[in-house]
Amino acid sequence: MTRAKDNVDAFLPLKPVAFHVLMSLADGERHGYAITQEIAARTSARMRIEPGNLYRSIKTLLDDGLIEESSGKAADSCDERRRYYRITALGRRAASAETARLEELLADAKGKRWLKGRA
Amino acid sequence: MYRLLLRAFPREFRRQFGTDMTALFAERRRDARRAGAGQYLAFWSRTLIDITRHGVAERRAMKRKRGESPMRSFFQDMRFALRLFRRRPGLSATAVMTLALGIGVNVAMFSVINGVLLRDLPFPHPERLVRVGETGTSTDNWQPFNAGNYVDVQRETGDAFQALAAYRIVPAATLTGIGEAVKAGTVAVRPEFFDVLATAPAMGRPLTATDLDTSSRSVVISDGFWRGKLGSDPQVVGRSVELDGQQWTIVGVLAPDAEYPSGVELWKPMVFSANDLAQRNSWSLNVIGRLRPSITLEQANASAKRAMSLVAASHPGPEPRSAIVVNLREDTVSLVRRDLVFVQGVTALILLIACANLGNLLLATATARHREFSVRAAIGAGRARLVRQMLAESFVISAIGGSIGAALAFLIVPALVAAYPGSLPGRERIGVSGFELVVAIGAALLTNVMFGLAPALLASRTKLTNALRPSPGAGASPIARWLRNGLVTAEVVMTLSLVAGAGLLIKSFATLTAQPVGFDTRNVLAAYMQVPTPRFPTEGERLRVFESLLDRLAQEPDVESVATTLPLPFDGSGTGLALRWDPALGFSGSAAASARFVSPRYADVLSVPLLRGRFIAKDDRPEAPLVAVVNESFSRQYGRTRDVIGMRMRRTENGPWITIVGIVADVRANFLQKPRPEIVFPVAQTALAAGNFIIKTRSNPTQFAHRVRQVAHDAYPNVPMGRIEPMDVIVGDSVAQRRFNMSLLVALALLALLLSVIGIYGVMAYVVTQRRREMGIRVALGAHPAQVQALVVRQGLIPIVIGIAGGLAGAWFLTALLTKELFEIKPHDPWTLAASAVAFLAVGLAACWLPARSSSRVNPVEVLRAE
Repeated sequence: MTRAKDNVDAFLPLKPVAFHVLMSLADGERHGYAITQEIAARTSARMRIEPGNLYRSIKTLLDDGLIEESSGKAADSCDERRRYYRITALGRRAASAETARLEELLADAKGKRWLKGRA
Repeated sequence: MYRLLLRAFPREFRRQFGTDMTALFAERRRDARRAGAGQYLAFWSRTLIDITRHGVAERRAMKRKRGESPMRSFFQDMRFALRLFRRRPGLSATAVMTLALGIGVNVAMFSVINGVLLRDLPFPHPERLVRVGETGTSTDNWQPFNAGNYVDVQRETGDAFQALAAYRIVPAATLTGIGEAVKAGTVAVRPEFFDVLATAPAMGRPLTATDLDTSSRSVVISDGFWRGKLGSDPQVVGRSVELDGQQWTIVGVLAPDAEYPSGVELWKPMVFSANDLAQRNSWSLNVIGRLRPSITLEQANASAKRAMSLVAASHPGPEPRSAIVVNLREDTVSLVRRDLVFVQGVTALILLIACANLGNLLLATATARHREFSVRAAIGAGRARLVRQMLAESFVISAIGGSIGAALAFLIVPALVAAYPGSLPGRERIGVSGFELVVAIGAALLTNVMFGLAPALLASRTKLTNALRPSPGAGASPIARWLRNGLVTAEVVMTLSLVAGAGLLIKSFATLTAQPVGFDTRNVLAAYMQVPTPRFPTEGERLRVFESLLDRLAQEPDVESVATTLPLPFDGSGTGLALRWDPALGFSGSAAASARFVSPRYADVLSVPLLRGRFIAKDDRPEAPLVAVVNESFSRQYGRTRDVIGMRMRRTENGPWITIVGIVADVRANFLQKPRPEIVFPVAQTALAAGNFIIKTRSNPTQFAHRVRQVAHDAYPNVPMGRIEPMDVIVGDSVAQRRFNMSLLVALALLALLLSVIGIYGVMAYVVTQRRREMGIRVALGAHPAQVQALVVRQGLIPIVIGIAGGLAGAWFLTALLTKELFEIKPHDPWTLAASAVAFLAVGLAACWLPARSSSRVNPVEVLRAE
């Protein structure tokens, strides 16, 4: 049985879109449209994800087991036909591992001289 | 709509996420619409990019996951197609060559059109270049400028024109002293000419006003002349060359491709003599101009008309005169545009015929592989896969055929341009370059789809049960049969139209050139000579040159008779005159006619019969009373109430009277126009500097040309002799354009016929082979082989006969387009159409019967056994 940490290393580095989707689902279940809206809100509309992009990402995340389809309905119950997704435990671990990786990276980058004036 | 676009994604993906994606798209679109038109547009472009990128990426990812390389199926298809291609060399070669010919002629024509019609004149702001002409009361036929008028108009139109320049194409100069003597296209221009073109020479300087001094002999040469005839001499500026026996100094070399008019190699200064400027009733100058930046064509026209009315006021003439200004490019190409586009249309038809052939070919082979496809489908190949496979096969043909076609175009274009009589405007800009190659590739791909798609779609409609049944026979499905027959019919329609059109052109040309010219061209040589006025300033001296040469040539043993004439019939030149009648005659107005200046033996040399009175004689000297002879047309027009012989007229208001002393038969000026009124003056009584010696030789005139030049050189080494050619050649050259058009169209029609015949024969042969079994059975049941053949032929002829009917209709339409080309032949000439139809029927019959015959010599036992 491999250790949990080794498991998630296989998924790093996460693609940016995938990471955003995981972040979006961290707070709860959502369907596709809600995910894109949340991402847009969180990034002040800097990231705009088109359907093709989004669902490919979702497919990969599903295949890798980082998210799963949710059977129940979530907060906004306006549309029953939609598929809802939620993050799995593996997904949470992967997301947190990615965060750690990015923090390390950022720390290294900040140590370099090019970021003068930004401590 | 989005759902359609979603097909870019693999099926499983669509199944899983399709609904959600569509819903998301709908919501996004709603938001975008609300945000405004700009956002909406941006939204759609983002959507399209997203679909394309991710659809393709997802498919590739899936393939990779399945262990296939994503490109693998494409390479598989190509390998298979190539293998098939190699395995049927005869078929493949025919297919490829058919397409190569179709694409080759199209790309060649397009290259020509691109160079002549589409590319701009290579001068700054070419849209500001115009041509200016004089007109009479109606602006429909406008004509060259008179020198005096040109100078006046130039002075008065400075507001509209930045520069205005006159030019005249003169006989080609002969360059001697450097290797073999060669001719070079020459034009005489006013110094403003290079300002109009706004092009600075690559070396040296352009002609300027100082070069108008008659003693300076400055010339500007073209880049081609410099490289070709002077060996790219770096010291060319200031170098002296011998042109027509005189020394000229080169002052400038133009940049490559900057020649105007097309094909000219030498630009000489055009000098106006006092006489040129005073005389207001001869017109021979072309005028081009450059408009000022903000001036429109209408404003230029108004300015020119104003100027001409001032001229008319101060120099009243027999007719009111005006001027017209047209865009130069338009004017130059409008003559050839129609022809070029027409020929491009014809080559497009040929390409369609080639595609029809190939379509039939692929259809036939595809239905033969019916079984193969069905088995493939049974083991899992989707319909899309089969279609892709067949498209790959047609792609191989297109790719190879297209490449060969492009190579053919490369060869055809220079040959075409060289064969064109005269020079195509803009011919320096014609070439098979990158743009044309892209067009070739596009044509190849397009034809690939056109002839490959239908058979592919048809053949891939397979039902397993059908295939495992024994061979179904020719054209398994009725749709295939309809398609096949339809293609044959279409080919026949197109080819017959072309053949009928070609037939009409042949008939028209024959009729045109069969017209009697009014003189005998046999054994007559024509030699042009220009006497330089600086060295022979008086009329008397110039006349002596001509008469002395006439005497010397007359003494040659080979010469029967010799005379001079200006202009020479059929050389494309001519001058118009208007003379005032003697008021004592009682009618007003003037006699308008063309003028000819000849020596006494003119009528003998050309065997022109004298009808009444007398011809020009030796005694008609400058001191004697002025006389003239008129032609029959003149007499008919002006001699209705009284005999023209004895009537008097004069060229200017108070000039000397000229008396008409004789009437000669009409001599045509060219094949196209009916003979017009003409007045023949004695060259001895006119102040001319140039003339054509016409020499009737006892034997072959061409060999005598050398001798003529020698005689002239011995007598007057400093007077150059220009062009020397037999009259037959000159007459032939006058219809060179029409002959070229006719030959081109006939060649294309023959190509179309060849392709059609090959195509139809191939189809029939195939169909008949497929029906061997049926024919075998019929023969076994007692039918005579001939009856079986007749049955097959009859059925095969049906689409051809329908095609002939359609073809006649097509010919009707096509030949209506040719009306302007046809000379006294109605476009719907029944004989030509009937002949074409009959010819095609015979061809079709042969194409059907031959395969039927060879195939029906079939042993019924063998055929049945094969099942």
